[in-house]
Amino acid sequence: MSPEVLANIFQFHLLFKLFFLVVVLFYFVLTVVIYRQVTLLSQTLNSSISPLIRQIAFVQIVVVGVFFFLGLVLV
Amino acid sequence: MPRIKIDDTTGEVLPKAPRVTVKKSEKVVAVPVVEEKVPLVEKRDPRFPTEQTTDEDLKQKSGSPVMAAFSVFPKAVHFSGQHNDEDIIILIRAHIITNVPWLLGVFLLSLVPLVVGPLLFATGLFPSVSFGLGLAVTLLWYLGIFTYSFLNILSWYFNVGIVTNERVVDVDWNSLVHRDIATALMSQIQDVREVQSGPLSGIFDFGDVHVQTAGTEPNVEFYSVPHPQLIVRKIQELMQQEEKEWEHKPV
Repeated sequence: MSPEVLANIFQFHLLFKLFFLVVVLFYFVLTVVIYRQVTLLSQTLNSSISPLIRQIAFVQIVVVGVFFFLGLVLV
Repeated sequence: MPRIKIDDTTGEVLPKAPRVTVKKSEKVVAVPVVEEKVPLVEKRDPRFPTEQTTDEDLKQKSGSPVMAAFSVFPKAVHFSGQHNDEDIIILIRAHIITNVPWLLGVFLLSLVPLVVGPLLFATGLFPSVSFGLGLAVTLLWYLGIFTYSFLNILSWYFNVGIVTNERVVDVDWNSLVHRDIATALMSQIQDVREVQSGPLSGIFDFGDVHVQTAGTEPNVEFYSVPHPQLIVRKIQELMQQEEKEWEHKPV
């Protein structure tokens, strides 16, 4: 494999990594918005499972946050 | 405004509950009589003694008090702005069958990495794709599917219609950034109608309920809700009850 091809692959890989991380970052923002909305809607309609729904929304934020750092290593 | 009790059968205003005094040794202690709450269950029509009342029908069809598309007198549910003496009679969501399309979509989407992944490797289109990259993309895919499902569940759960003894409340959550809460007092409701169309709505008994309000008040609409006829019947009964109360209100 020539050095030019290797450089191209490296560049493509870097671009892909950047794209991937930007997508995950937007995804992270989305999960924060979901959590905020769930909190507001739980106040509007309060039931015994509202805390569980809020917890799921929060866990989702944590998972995506962890995934962002995992993406730095894996990709 | 003081609330008054009205006899359902005679239409007369009932007197206030008396306070009972009990002698305890030498002291006289006033014991407040716990005012009996007016039951929301209406009386059986003497002309049709075997026919079930609307409340009996409603209770028969009621599901789980928290996670059901049709719940009657749910004790564990409250909504913002609910008054102390206001009881939720019916809590409605879209019929559970309306979730099938997105569930099918989720099933098909979850199969994609299992089919596409091996195909890509077999064809050798991406020879330089590392294991880490493949794993990260697959994880992101399944996380996305989870979020999509969660959003759909939330949308179903929070899009509710509430019928109380005082009003009708419609909570709409169409997207992440759009929330709409409409209420209509029983006294403002002019007309209630239900629309059922399509074979599925006939089979699973669901349809739309349209509540038309007076003047500039926004109309309230519940879409694809179970047992629409029962909901309409109950709202009409509550409207009549409200009308009776207004007729007997002291000037």
